[in-house]
Amino acid sequence: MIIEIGLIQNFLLAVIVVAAFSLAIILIRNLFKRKPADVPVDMHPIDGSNNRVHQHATDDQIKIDDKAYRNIIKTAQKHAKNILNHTTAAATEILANSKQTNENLEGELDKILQQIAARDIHELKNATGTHEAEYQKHLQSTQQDLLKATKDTIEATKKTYQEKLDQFTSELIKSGLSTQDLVDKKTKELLTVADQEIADYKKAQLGKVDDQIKKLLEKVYRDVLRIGIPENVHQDLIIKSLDEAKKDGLFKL
Amino acid sequence: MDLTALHSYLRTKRETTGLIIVIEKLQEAVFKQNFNLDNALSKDVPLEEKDVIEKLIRDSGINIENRQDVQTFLTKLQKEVSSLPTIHIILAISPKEEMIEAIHNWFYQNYKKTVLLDISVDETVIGGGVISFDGKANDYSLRNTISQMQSSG
Repeated sequence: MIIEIGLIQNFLLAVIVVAAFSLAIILIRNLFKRKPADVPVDMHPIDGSNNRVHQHATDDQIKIDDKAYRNIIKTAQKHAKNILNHTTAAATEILANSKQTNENLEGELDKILQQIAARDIHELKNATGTHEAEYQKHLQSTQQDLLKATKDTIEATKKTYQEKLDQFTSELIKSGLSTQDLVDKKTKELLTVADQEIADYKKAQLGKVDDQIKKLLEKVYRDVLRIGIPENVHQDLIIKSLDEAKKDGLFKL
Repeated sequence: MDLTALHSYLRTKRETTGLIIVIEKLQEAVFKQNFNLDNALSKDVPLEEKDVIEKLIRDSGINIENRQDVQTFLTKLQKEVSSLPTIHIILAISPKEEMIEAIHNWFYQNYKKTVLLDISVDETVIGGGVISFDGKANDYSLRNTISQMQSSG
């Protein structure tokens, strides 16, 4: 945008300069095309009827014209110089104005941009605030929805299980068995199992006790009899053992 | 071969091992120069085994001057001793000579045969014994009797 404005200003300046030169040229040409009436008497051209006078007058007039011409040239140059000076001053002023305009424009542009930025920032802040508020709102809404969904799920689950429980109870009632009967039946089964386990445990423990008692008795017998049994009794016991072995057919000699 | 002379001497497995060692020594001596059985018995054999072997030789009627006969006799004796039946008995006490003699005699009286006794001791037997022969075993101990009494209530 700044570049476009600069081009326009240069174009206008060029037009002004061209116009000034054109005006200067036109003024110079008009000076040389001035009518006789405008020229002093001694400078008027001589028509054909009065040639000699005219010829004589012409020589004099040439001297006059040359002087006038020089004056005219000087005047034209002065005018042209004035015009050029004026044009240059105008162009300089235009350029100065243009530069100032550009600076102003740049400053204004900065301001505008700053205003736009400020506006955008403000809008952005507003938008952010709005979004944040919307987010908070959405979050609250989601939380509420979640809580509601959870509550609904719990309620639904409770309802489902309540229905199943009711159905189970209903089936129990239909089958003719009361809950108490079922509990009693299950209790009896458990008691039977427990009794059996206790009996097995007692049996196992008694077996262990029996083994321990047996070992203890053997030790008592051994300790008492080992000392108390005379050698001849030992020998008799051994011979008795051999007799029993013979009866059992242990020796096939 | 008449092994009657061995009956009073050869009663246990341990005694048999000692006799087999003596027999092996005599067999080696037979092949030596200037072999003399009496000298060999006097030099290499304990007194108790010497008496038993001399008795067995006398009962067999072999010529002790003949090396071949002596060698044949020793080989046969070693084979007979090694093939004697062995009775394994577990007792509650370590038996004395009299008890071993009584057990050994019991077999001779009942079966007319000389047996070797392989005796071991276990106090838990209490009395009597655990007897095994030829891969079979029966418990005739007081321990077993008491255990059966307890089991029957």
